[in-house]
Amino acid sequence: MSASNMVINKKKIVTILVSAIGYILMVGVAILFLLPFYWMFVTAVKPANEIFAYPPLLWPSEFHFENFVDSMKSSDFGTFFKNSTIVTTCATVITVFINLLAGYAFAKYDFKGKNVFFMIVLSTLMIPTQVTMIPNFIVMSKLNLLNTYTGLILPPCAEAFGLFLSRQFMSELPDELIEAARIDGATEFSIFRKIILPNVGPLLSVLIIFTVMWRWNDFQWPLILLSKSKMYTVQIGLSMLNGSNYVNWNMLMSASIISIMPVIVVFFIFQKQFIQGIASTGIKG
Amino acid sequence: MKKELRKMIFVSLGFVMLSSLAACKTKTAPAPANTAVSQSVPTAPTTEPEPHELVAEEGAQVRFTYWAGSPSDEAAWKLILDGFTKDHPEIKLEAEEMPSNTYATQLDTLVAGNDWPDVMRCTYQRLGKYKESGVLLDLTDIISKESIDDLVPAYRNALTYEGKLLGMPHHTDTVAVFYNKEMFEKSGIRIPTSTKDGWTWDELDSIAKKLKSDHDLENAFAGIWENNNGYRFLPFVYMNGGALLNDDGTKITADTPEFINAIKLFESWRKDNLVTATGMTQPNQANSMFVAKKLAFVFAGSWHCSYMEENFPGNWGVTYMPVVDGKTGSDMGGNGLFAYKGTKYPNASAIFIDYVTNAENMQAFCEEGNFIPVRQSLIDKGLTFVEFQDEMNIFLNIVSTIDPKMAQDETSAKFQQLNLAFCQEMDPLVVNGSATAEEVVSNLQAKLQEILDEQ
Amino acid sequence: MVDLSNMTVKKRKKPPFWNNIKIVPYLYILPNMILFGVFMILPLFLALGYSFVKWNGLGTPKFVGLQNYSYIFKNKTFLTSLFNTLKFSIIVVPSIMMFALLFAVILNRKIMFRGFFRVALYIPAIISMVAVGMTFTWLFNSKIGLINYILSSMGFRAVDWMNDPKFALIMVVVGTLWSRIGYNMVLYIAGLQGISAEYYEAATVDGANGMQKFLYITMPMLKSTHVFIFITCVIYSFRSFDLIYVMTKGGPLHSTETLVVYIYNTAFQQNQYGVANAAGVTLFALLFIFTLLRLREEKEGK
Repeated sequence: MSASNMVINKKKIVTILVSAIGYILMVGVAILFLLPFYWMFVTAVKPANEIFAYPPLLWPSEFHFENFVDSMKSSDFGTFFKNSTIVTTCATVITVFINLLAGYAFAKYDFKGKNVFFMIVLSTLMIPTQVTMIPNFIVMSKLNLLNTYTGLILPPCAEAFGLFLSRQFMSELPDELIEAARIDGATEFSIFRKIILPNVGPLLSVLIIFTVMWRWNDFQWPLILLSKSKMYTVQIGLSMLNGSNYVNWNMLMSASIISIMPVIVVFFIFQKQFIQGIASTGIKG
Repeated sequence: MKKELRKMIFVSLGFVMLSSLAACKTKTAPAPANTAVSQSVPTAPTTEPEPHELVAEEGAQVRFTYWAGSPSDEAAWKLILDGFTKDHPEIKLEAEEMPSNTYATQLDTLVAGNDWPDVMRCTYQRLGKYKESGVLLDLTDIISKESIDDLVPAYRNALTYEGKLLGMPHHTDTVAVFYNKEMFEKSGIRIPTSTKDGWTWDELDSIAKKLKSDHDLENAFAGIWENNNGYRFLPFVYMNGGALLNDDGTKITADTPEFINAIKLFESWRKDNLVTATGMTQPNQANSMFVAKKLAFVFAGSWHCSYMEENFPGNWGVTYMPVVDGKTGSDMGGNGLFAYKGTKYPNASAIFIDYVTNAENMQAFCEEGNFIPVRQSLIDKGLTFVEFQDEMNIFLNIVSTIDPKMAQDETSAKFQQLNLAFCQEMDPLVVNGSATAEEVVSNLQAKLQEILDEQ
Repeated sequence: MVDLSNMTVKKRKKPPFWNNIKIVPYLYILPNMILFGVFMILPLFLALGYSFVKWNGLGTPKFVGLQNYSYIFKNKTFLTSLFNTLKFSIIVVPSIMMFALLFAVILNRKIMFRGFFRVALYIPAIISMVAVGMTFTWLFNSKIGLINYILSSMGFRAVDWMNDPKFALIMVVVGTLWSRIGYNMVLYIAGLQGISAEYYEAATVDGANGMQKFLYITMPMLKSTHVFIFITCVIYSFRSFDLIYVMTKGGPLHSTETLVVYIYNTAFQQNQYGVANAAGVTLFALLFIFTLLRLREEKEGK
C-alpha cells in the first residue's frame, strides 16, 4: 500500500512541479508581452527630454497626462474618430450579415459551381493589397466613390476569413432541424431566420470582434481612397504624427494608445462568447 | 472539376486579353481643357510692364493638395490659405492636407488614377517627371514678368522646361551643421563664422575624431540623407567640383576624380566610424540620435529648429557647411507649386499659385514657417522670423551658396529615379562597407546612365 | 372520381425563386460574390493587364508583353525579395505555431488568472501594425533602446539592429511574433477545447503520461487546426507589409525586403507600375499554387 502511495505522490509532485514551471513561464511571457505596452504608455507621458535619455528610463520623473489630450488636439482627431467609428460599425454590420448568409449557403446547400466559387473566395486572400491598390482606386474613381463613406466601407467587406469562419460554424449545425422545417413547409428564408440565426451567438461574437479589429486598423485602403482630411480615419491621423525626418514620440504614443481603446472595449464586451465561438467553428475538423 | 477548371482558364484568358487592351487605352494625357486662358489675359505691351488682371472662371474651384512637414509648416499654410479665402471669395478653395510621410504615394495614386488635383505642392527633386510628361499648366504668359524676374535663378530654372514656366517655386530650405554646444565647448572646436569660413574636409575629419574620443561616442555625426533623401549628400560632390550630369543633362558624369573623391570622403568617415551606419534608404535616425546626445553634430534642415528646441533646449547651435578650396554648398530644399494642365479652372488655379508665391505672401509664409524665400527682393530685404532669427540668418546666407548646376540636375526629368538609384548604390558603402568608393562610382555610372537612356 | 392528373401538375409547380432550393444559395452568396468580384477579382485582372505594360503613372502605358516578367526574374532585388519572403515565412510560421500551441496548452489548464494571461497575449493582435512598428523600432534602437540596454547590462555586445543586415530581420521577426502569437494561441485553445475529455480519460486508464497524451491524442486531433493555422500564417507572412515598412523600409541593404515591400517600392518609389504588377501577379500565383497543393494534400490525407 505504501509503495503505490509513493508512486501516486511522486506523480502528484511532478504534476505540481510542471504546473508551477508552466505558471512561472506564463508570468514571464505575460511580462514580455505587456512590456511594449508599458513602454508605449511610459513614452506617452514622459517629459519630452526624457524620451531620449540613456540609460532608458523605465519610470518617468513626471507624468504628463495632458499629452493624451494634446495628441488628440494636434490634428482633427475628433473627426477622425467619428469617421473610423462610422466606417467600422457599418462595415461590421454589413460583413456579419453577408457572411452569415453566405456561410450558411456554402455550409448547408449544394449547388453547381460551389467549389469554384469557394476557390475564388480563397484566392482573394492571396492577392496582395499593393497590387489591387491602384486598380481599386480607378474603379472607385469611376464609380464616384472617392472620399466617401461608401468607398471606405464597401471594398473591405470582401473579407474571406469571415466567410470561412461562418461556413465552418454553420456546417456544425444539425441538418435534421433544417430538413424537418422544410418538410413542414417553411420558406428558406424563414428557416434561416428562425432556426439558424438563434444559434449563431458565438459565431456572431467572433465575426464582430475580428471585423471591428480589421476595419479599425485599416490603413492602406483609406490612405489610397481619401485625400480630403475631413474624411480621414484614426490610422491616417496617427501616421500624420510620424514625420519624415523626426517623430514626435509623446504625441504618437499617446494617440496610439487612445486609438486602441475602442477595439479593446469591443473585445471585452464580446470575449466570453469569443473563444466558444471559435471552438464551434470546428476548425478542429 | 476538370471541366470547370478548363472553363475558368478560358474565361481568364479572355479577361487577360481584354484587360491588356483596357490598360493600354486608359491613360492618355487629356488634351488641354481650354486655351481660353490667353483670351482673358490682355497682352501687356513689353515696353511698359503692366500687371495683368487675371479673372477667375465662373464658379471656380481650386483643389489644392499639400502636406505639413512640421508644426511651423502647418501654421504657415493655415495663415496663407485663410488669407486666400478672404482675399479671393470668388474662388472656392478645397485644401487637402495629407500626412507628410505618405504624400508622395497619395499624389502618385491620384495621378495614376487620373484624379488630378488642380494645384499641387511638390518637392523640387520630385517634379522632374511631371515637367517632362507635358501634364503641367503653362504659366509663362500668366505670371507677370516682374514676378518671374524676381525669382532666384536656380529656383526659377527648377520650374522651367524647354523655355516654359510650368510652376512657381514657393520656398526653399537648406541644410547646415547643428552642433551640441556643450560638447563643442568642452573640446574647444572652432565654430565657423561665415560661409567662407567653414571647415575644410580635413578639419571636419579631425574635429569628428576629437569629439568622438573626447565624449566617448560611437559616432561623431550623422546627416539627414536617410529616408531615401540621399541627394542631400550631393552638395559635397558639387562643392568639390563634381557633378551628376553633364551640361545638357544627357550623360552621367560620376566617374570623374571630383565625384569619386566626394564618395571617398564618405568612405573615410565610415572607416573611422565617424558617421552613423544608417543606410540612405533606411528610416530616419539622425535627429533623434542628436537630441539623445549620442552624436556631437548633425547635418540637419532649417525646418528642424523647432524640433531641436523642443527636445534639446538651449544646447544646440547652427553653423556653416564645410568648404573645399573656397567653394561650399548645401542642399536645395523646398517645394514649388504647379497646376494640372487639364484643370477645369486654369485661371483660378493660376490666380492661386500667383497669390501664394507673390512677394507679400511668400514673406509671410517663410517668416511663420521658418523657411527661406526664393525671391531676390526678399533675400535682399531680410526677413523677420517668428523665432530662431539668428539661425535663420545663417541659413539665408547658406542658401546663396547653393550650386546652380546642382539645382538644375536635381530638377531634371528623371531625377527621382536617379536619386533612388544613388541611395541604393551608396548603401553597401554606408551600411557595412561592402562596396568601395570605386565600385560605387562605377555602378552609379552604369546604373544611372541606364536610367537616363531609358525611353 | 379523384382527378389524378391535377394532383401531379400541382406537385410539379415550381416554387418562387426566393424559396427555390436550387436558386436560394446563389442569392445568399451573391452579395459576397459581387464584392469579391468588383474589389478583388476585377482589380486582379486589371493588375494582370498592367503587368504587360510599361508605365510610370503619367502619360500612356506602353505595351511590352512579357518583358516585365523576364526583367524581374533577372533582377537581383526581386530575387532577393523572393528569397527573403521565403526566409521570413520559414522562420515566422513554425515559431508562431510552436509558441501559440505551447501557450495554448498551458492556458487551457485550470490555472489561476488564465483569463488575464489569455487576454495579455491576445491584445497585441489588436494594435495597428504602424504603432507596433514604431514601438519596436524604439525598443530596438541601437544607441538608446531598451533591448540593447538590457543586452549590454548582461554583458553582451550591443547589436546594431537597424543597420546591420544580419540582424535587422530578427527585429522584424520579433515584432511579428509579438503581434501574432496571441491570435493563433486563441485558435489553438479553441481547437483544444474541441477534443473530448473522454479520450484523455481513457488514456489515463491505460497508463499514459502527459507527454504521450500530448503526442498521441492532442496532436493528431488538432490536425485540422494545424492546417488552418498553417495556411493562414503562411498567407499572412507573405502579405505582411506595414510592420516591415515602418521598421526598416526593406533595408538595410534589402535584407528585410519581402515581395510586398519590393512591389510597393517599385510602384511608388521607382514609379514602375508595370514591373510592380508583374511581381504582384507572381506573388499571387505562388500563393495560389501553394494553397492548392496544401489543400489537395489535405484531401488525400483524409
